[in-house]
Amino acid sequence: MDFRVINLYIMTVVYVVLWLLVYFKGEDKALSKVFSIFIINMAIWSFGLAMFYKSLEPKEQLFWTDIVYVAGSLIPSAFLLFSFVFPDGRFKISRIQQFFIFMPNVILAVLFFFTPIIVKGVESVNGVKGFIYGQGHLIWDLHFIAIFGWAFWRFIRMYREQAGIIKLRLKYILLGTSTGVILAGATNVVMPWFNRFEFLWLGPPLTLTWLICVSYAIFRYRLIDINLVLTRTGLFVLVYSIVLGIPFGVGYATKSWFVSTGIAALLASAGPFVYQYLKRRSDELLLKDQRRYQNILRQLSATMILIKDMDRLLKLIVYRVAKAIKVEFACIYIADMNQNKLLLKFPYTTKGFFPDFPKEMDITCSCELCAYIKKKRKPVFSEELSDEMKKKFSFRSGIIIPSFVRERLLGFLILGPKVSSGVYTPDDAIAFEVLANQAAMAIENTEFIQESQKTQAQLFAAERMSSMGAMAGGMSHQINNRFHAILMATSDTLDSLQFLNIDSCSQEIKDYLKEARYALERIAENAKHGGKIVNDFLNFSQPDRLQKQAKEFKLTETLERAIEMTRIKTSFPQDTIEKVIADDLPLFHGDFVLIQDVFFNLIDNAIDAIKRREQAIQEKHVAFEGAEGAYKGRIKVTMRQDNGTIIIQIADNGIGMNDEAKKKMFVPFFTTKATAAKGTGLGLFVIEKIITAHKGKIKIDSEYGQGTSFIITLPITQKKEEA
Amino acid sequence: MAKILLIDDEPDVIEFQKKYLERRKHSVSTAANTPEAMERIKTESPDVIFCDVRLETDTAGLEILAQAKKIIPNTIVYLVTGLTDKEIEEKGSALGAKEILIKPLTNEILAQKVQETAG
Repeated sequence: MDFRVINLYIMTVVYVVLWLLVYFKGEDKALSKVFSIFIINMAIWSFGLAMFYKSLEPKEQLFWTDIVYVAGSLIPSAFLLFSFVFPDGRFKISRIQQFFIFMPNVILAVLFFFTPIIVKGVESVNGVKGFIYGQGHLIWDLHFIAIFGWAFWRFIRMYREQAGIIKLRLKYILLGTSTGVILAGATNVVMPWFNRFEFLWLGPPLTLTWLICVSYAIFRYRLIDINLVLTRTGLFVLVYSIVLGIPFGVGYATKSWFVSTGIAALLASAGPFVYQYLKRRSDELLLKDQRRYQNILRQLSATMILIKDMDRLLKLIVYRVAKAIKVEFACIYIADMNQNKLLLKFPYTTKGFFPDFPKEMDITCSCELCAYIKKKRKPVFSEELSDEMKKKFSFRSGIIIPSFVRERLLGFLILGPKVSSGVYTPDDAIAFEVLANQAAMAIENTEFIQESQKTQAQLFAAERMSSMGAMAGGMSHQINNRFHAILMATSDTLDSLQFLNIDSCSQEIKDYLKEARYALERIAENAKHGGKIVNDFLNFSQPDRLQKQAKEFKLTETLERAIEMTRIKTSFPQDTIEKVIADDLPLFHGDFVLIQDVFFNLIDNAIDAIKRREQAIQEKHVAFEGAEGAYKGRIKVTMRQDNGTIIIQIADNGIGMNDEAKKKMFVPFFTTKATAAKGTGLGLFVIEKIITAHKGKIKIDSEYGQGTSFIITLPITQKKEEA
Repeated sequence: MAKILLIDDEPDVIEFQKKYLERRKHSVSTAANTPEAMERIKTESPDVIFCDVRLETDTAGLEILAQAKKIIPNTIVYLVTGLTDKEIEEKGSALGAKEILIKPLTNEILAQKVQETAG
């Protein structure tokens, strides 16, 4: 049988197999269907050519010629239609427009089968079968070139617009199409113009690369890098042209089949090893960067589980992955089960641009993207998403890596495109899946740890608070009872001493009784003081005790009373206190007595601070050297209205507080005063409670050796003061 | 001169209060628990009662107050407590206590209260 016929039969079978493969395995049905039209025409074309060579009858030969040409004219039309369906499987033209694409084919078919305008007959010159053209034989060529050019131009335009995997797929299509069409176009279109028909049979095998590239682009989302494919193919061709070429050359030169067969056997057995070795080396070179970051990802997967703080873990994942792969941007969405939401965390960008992602998403699958991710459960390439989804989520290019624990979506990592504009490969996806699984475990682990820590802390705090509260109550009662008994005993004894006639006693006894009286007085004072501490603490450790006598009053009046009380207690010079009171001060709504307490305590503290500075100067402390005589204690009280609040400042130029004291000043029982007898250590603690109970704030500004300034901010609740 | 009843389960407290008030020529009797207190109230009809709130129970004093007011409506009752408590204050006032005194107290205060109300 004619080798050309065998070749064409084989090609027909190859095309049919390819058609079946694409039709049944292609992920996109519409795309596969349109592509089927393309392949089937190729198969008919190939089969027609085989029959053309095989048949001997002129009539039969002409019939198959017509078949070949009609099928041939359908190839660019199908390719054009394909360009309207690629890449998303949606027809971007109407049915009528589709009809118009195929209209010329019908006309051509009529011209072929019923007229001699294009092909008149078949003739054989020097054993080469060829066509006898009619006058209009260029009609077919013009149609072919026009339609094919249109389709090719469309793909080039798409290639320019697209990015990522789709760009890569278009690269395949363009590369396969140009090589296939240039070669087959030469043998089956250009050469026949010059009545050269020797290589008609080469057309179908030459277009095979075209078809293979296009079909590969259709049913594989995850393409390996084209550089890799080209390098591998190049290596393969190189190795096997040596393996086959050398024996052929040797055989041709020596005319000895024995030597050439021997060399062939040797080379053929070494060939696969050489090829494998070279392939490995080239892969290493080409995939160097990928291997590097895949290693980092693996290391990251292993260390992740050791981290027990959720935020640190997530931050680590985002930043390490983003930096290792060098992406344009990255972020993570993490599920918050309490809110049923996915929250955006740790946005990262290298180019200063971060997409407009939503801060939070509903987890309950109402969002299309979440639903898709939940369905797929594997890394999602941006190319898989519909345009609508991409637009809604403003996510153009990159990969989404979800993490699951059983059925629960924990969250997903989003990586933007690589800075190198390389694509994500199947190897990447596998590495990401491992990472995602490890991350899921690590996240669940930290969730569990944090949750249990929180519960424990809450339980502990609740228990401590309730037992502390009960204890404080019970203990205070007991302690007060002791103080009560002590006071009863001392006050009675002191009283009885008063009634005692000691005139007749010796001086010794008199002196002793005087001392005893003094001791009893001290005991009584201390017991009273102890009782005050206990009662203060009880009163103000429970804020609900406050505010029970709220009314409207003038803060200036409260201040005057507090100053008066302080003067009775400490008798400071009249000109120590300077008042700067705004005229428009409104009435204040609160507990008069409590606020008076606050003022009293703060002024009392200020007086104390001034006295201690005077003392320090007298004792010639290092910080106050050379200040003798120049110092005059001053307290400045300012009250003004500001933006819905009343601001009260009480500033002194007393001794001031060091950092240690500042830290502890609101801690109950902390006091800087010289002896416990002078203060309870509850003043500032209670003041803070009172201010907080009035929804106000207290701030302190103090420096040792400079003075202290308290700033109280109280919210205005009532109308303006009419003074 | 007033008839005073001191109710407290602390002998240390009662003893010194009694001595102090007696020195001021008041007639003072004491009780350490509710039955004793009820006995004294019935038999002696005191003018002024100082009653600790916490005796056998946390609020036994309130019971005594209620009973005393029923038996002798004119008697003046001071509740004495070691703990400021809203509930006790409200109930005490409602039951007719003259005042709720917070421990620690001094004998001077007691004498002054007696002076004010029954002097």
